[in-house]
Amino acid sequence: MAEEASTSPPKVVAAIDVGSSGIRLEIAEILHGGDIRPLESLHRSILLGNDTFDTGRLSQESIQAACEALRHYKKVMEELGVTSYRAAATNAVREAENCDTFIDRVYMSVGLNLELIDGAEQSRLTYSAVQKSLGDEIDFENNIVALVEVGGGAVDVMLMDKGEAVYADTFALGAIRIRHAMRSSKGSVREKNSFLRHMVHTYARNIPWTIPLDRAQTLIALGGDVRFLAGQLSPEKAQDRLCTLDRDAFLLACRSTADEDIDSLAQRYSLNSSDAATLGPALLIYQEIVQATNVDQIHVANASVRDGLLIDLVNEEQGKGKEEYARQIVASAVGLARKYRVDEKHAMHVAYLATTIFDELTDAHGLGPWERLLLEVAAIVHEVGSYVHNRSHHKHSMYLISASEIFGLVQEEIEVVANVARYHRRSTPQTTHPQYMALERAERMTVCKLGAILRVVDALDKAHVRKVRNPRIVVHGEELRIFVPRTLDTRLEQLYLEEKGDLMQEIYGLKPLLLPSGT
Amino acid sequence: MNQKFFNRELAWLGFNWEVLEEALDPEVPLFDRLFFLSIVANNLDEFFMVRVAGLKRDEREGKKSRCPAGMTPLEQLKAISEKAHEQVHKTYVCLNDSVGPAAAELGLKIHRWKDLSESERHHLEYRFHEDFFPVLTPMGIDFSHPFPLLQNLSINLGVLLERDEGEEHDRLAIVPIPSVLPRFVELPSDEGNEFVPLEEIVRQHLASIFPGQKILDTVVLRITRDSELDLDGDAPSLLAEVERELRNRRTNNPVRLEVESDIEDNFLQILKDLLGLESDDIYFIPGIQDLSALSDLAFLPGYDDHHFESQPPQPVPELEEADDIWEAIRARDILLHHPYDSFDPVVGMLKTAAADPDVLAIKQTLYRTSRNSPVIEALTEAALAGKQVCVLIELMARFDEERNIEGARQLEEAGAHVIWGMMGLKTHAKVCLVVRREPAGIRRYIHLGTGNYNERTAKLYTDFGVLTASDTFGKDASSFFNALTGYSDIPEYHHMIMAPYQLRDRLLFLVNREVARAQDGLAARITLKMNSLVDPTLIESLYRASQAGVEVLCNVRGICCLRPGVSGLSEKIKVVSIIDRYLEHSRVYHFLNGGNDEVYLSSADWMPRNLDRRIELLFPLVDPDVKQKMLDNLEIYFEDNRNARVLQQDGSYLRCSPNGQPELRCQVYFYEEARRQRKSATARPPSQLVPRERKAEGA
Repeated sequence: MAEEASTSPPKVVAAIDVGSSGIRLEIAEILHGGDIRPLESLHRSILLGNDTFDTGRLSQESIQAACEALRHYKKVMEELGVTSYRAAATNAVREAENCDTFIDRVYMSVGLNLELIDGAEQSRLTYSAVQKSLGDEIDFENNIVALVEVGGGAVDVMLMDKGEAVYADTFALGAIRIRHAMRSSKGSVREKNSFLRHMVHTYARNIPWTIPLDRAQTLIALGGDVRFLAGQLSPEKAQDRLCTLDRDAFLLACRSTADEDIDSLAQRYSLNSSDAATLGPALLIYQEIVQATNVDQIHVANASVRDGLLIDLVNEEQGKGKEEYARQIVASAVGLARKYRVDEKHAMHVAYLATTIFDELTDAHGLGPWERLLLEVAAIVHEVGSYVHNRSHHKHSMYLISASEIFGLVQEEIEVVANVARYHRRSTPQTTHPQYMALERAERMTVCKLGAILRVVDALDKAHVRKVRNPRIVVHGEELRIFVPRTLDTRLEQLYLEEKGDLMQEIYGLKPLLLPSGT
Repeated sequence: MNQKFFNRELAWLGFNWEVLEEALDPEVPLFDRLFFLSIVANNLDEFFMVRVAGLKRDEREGKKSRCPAGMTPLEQLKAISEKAHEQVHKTYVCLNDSVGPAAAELGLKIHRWKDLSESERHHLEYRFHEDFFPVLTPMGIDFSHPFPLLQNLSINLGVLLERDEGEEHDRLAIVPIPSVLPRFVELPSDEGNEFVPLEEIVRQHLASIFPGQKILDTVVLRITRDSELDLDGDAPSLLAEVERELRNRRTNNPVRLEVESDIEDNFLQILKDLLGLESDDIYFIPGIQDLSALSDLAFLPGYDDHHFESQPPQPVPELEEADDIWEAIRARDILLHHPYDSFDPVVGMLKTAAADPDVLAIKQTLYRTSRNSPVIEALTEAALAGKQVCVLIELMARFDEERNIEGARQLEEAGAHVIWGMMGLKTHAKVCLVVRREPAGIRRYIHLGTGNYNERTAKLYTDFGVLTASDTFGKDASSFFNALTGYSDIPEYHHMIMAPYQLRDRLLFLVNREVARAQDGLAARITLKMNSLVDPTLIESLYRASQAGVEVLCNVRGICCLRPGVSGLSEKIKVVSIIDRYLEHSRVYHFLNGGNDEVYLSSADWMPRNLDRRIELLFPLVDPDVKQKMLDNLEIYFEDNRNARVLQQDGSYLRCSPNGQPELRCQVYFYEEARRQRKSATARPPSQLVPRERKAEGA
């Protein structure tokens, strides 16, 4: 052990989070057992959200300030010998019209590669951080846990049932956004505060409508504002990973803090004015959320997107990918399917058959476990479009999926899933289909390979009765032979297979055939 | 007047009086008495330049606001003048009647011209023409123009020359005594050390300087000027600003004039008019001016028997015996108590770091540095060796600015990242951080202390320092430097508490916690050691503590504005000051906390400037052994019955005496303690046997 250590010191990695209320850097070491040892945390209050949520663009001053902060971060990273990093930008950058320019500026003038992450990816990162840090304290497996993070530009809410993300959504209702909407309001502090409360209440109503927060048995709150509150209510625990607060005390503190004037908050707690300005709205949002639950306690966790990014870096180092989250991703897909009242049994069966064929064709498609997971997800949600109308439901599926969040999938991956779902029936991919053509070439190939399989298995369960249960699948010459019990009447399936085997033949050069066992 | 607070200026004068008491104490070795005299004089110089100057500015600007003790600037100036005159008088009584004659008996003599023999005069004449005359730059005074720019604190000869025919006034000329020349000119002598003050020699040769003119009168004079840097915080370049201010320091308003006591009235009137000074600002000096120069004489070789017994700082056993300093620090936190423990380990750590290929970065704050500072030397070497070196040099460390600029330039040229101080805040915190890549990962080594990174003052000031490899302290130190470089916003720390952000509130919290315990009828105690206790809010909190029944023990070496022992206000508060051979400089704060003691070290005194206008650090001692050691030390600080003084209700000090008890002088005790530790460490059997081989003969 000591010898191993002396040969290679632990790798030093970094995670950067360019958020709407600040830019933060976390530097850590990956110890030999895979544990993360934090080294340094830096943060700069640069309010990119102020620009984006106001004018829709990042201002030159903000871009400059952000670049300068990132340049400094890079210096610190070099000083400690950071060898790999992830730098993620969230909604303040993502929603800005000049988002691309910003990312390019950062790349050209600082030399850091910024990736844009969306709400779902943010949720996945946060969840992985929370689970890693609180796995011992909170029983995710036997509990319904709500995970809430109020940021500057958005509120991320996730509901985990037995460790699976059954609901995950992002609401465009951040503290900075609200402050901006408030800007034009006039009157005394009291009047303004009453207006603020009213506004938060109106917007926040959406959250329990979308996500059944009343089912939550445990509530975990994340983010700087709520951590600040925790620090006030229980100073000795402020630095801990977890600080548990009593519901009533929490609600009372939210209310009284939100009632206070920004200047006096800033002075009393020596906060800078921007932190003081977001505190009130953020706490009011928490108040709304807590009131929508039945929990007695609020767990304030010290975990962030950056911790999630670090965990990703560890997994990368250990050769693991996002498949680690397969269970949560599948659960989230099922949640989406349920939302649109999909025939769940059919969906799950199709998913099962699809992955079975996928595994059998490993040599033919050359795809890995991640694509297998995308196929599984696509199979689960392929019929969500029927919710809109049965006619052209594959097209409805496509846009519904595109507009949804699935835990653990980034937008590009969602697009792949949406396309695979779209091609489960009717037309095969065509160069005239804009959403298909919007994908990268490699992704288009993935869509074709996965779509071909989905079409075949959808035909196999055309009647939604799971007739084809445990097929034996064999690739024989130019045939994909699917063996089913002799006794089974598969005339209908045969018929559909004729029609929907087209893509399989085109892509894999294999003709799918349903054959009775023993032949 | 029975105010809640003592006036801080008068409290300071009270402290200086106690230093003077040491010079008067016949039990103090003679040459240390001489040194104490130089300290008293030097202290007064700084006091006039900064404090009196500030009050005069307030007064000139018509400020009537009262200090916490209820005095207006004018009232304070009056009271100061009275006490300062008394102090000057007592100082010269001490020098002229006691220390001076006794030193002369031991061969150290300072002669006036009239006492010299013919051959001695001849020798000095020769030296005057050879060495001194070429450097002299006399200045004629034109009464219609401002007084020439005499350097602050320089010694000058004022010469009154008879007017030419047709002129209205007699003429005044000034001959500045150049500070580049030795103040005391040595006489050739077989035994002892005999000197003549330079101004005395120049005075005898004025005819050579003003040939053909009739000299009516001469007088030795010295001007003290307002020297507080008045910086424009928004100036684009702080460096340029400080340099400009340093040039200006020579021109700022006069606040004090020292003249020979036998000056003629008319001559004095001329000077007063020219300088715009009042009678209160004039100090008649019955002897040699500028006694701060006595410090050179106090350490002449050959008088070892007339000094305090030598106490060479002791090596720290844990570090001295270690092959690997990093391993030693990793093994346990190490408490350093200077000057009993040597400061070498701190410099040593920097030197080792500079040459260590595994060291990635060194970050350090510097407040006061010494000339040719080995700390700056080591940091320069590290930068040259390609390490990331980041140094915050405080440009505005009073009176050390020029030296600091020099050091900062050197570091910058070597490639270090130098931060020239913070806008609007002096950086007084003392931290050094070494980042090292080790097989088990990045490791940080931290030195945190109460004193400056100045190996020279570390031999004269008592300070505490801690060396630790604690991970959380490492993170705190990194965060601290990231905030100083502007790379990060003000962080939340694990242990450290930073001014001007959380320090004041934390101290109040700690005091109030004891108050709450006392109110619940539990044991509550606060033990504080610092240089100055001035901040009214914190003093009030201590009064509340006293009233709640908290036992409050304060060891305040210098200014204490808290009035102790007043019934109903502060009867549970005791204030002790220790004035001895070393300047008590450490800041230690202990809170009983219901038996779960919390002990902190800090760079900050309890003064508004430290809490609100400076970057300072407070940090807890977390290692139980270190904490216990410190608690033991603190106790000793209150058991001194030789050099301790107890502050009385009226602001005077009452010196302690053993009264039949065994004498305990804490500065001796701590030194013996350091030696004991060293001895017990060396007495341990060696960990390895080394056979002694007989050397081959004839080699």
